[in-house]
Amino acid sequence: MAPSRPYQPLLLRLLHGLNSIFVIGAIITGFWTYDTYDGRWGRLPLPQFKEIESIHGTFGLYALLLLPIFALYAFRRGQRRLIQPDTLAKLTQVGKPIWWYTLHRITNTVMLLALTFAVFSGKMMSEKWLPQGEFDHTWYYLHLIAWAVMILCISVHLLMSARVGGVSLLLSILDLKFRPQDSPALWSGHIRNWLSQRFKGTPK
Amino acid sequence: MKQNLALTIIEIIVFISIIAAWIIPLLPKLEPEPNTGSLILSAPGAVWLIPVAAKQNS
Ligand code: HEM
Repeated sequence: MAPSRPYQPLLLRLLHGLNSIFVIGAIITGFWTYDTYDGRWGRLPLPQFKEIESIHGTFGLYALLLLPIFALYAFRRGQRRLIQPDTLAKLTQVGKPIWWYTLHRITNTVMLLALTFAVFSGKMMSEKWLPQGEFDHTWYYLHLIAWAVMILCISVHLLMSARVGGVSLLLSILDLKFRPQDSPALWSGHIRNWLSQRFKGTPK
Repeated sequence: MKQNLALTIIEIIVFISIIAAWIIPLLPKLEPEPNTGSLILSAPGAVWLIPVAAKQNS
């Protein structure tokens, strides 16, 4: 028998996977944009590619469009993976497995805040600033900081996932197989159920 | 489930930011943009544009 592997709900894997593609894409193209136009804190020998700014904007826009859906999932169905009412108490059990899992939950929660900060500061910028050589905007500095925060957070997120569940947990979020009860064919029924539960008995 | 107050506050921050990210760029700027010759059809815009247009035509 194959060693057992943690199972992640299909909806989580889809939303989390798309989100990861958009965010990691935005991080890479964001660096290239900085490299093409700015470079005050150092450069890599990347080709100067002016269009990279709008490619970065596209990744950022997709991340912003997906964020409410991913956040809705994480704060509701996925709430067990985020901070809990007893998070502070659990933090005193230093070194125990629950301590590590609590740190992992804190990291997941901070991921959502860091991503919000990144897409928000990006949306406050004008695409004209960099081509016009205007680097002295507060939102541009905040957006650069958000980029560094995002890299830091992803590193910690990967380290925490590796610490609490090892390679098998890391791979579980990338797995493509799903259980029959998790099949997308059942989703429209779930949504109908949820709507009828939700609006049952609400006064007209 | 016990009330998860901290998480609720974070959720509100995330969703308010997402909404604000769409709305804030649509708000009119406090200072009027330098005249680029574009037609603004609102009443105050028209009042401001008529002398500009007259000047450009002369
Ligand atoms: C790039 C941006 C990323 C963001 C914003 C992000 C965010 C999150 C969030 C918010 C959760 C919790 C979901 C819930 O509440 O149900 C989560 C879970 C998880 N993430 Fe990420 N993630 C990112 C990238 C990655 C990458 C590249 C990996 C590596 C394979 C990864 C591995 C995991 C794993 C294994 C879990 C499940 C943890 C568990 O079951 O306890 N994440 N992520």
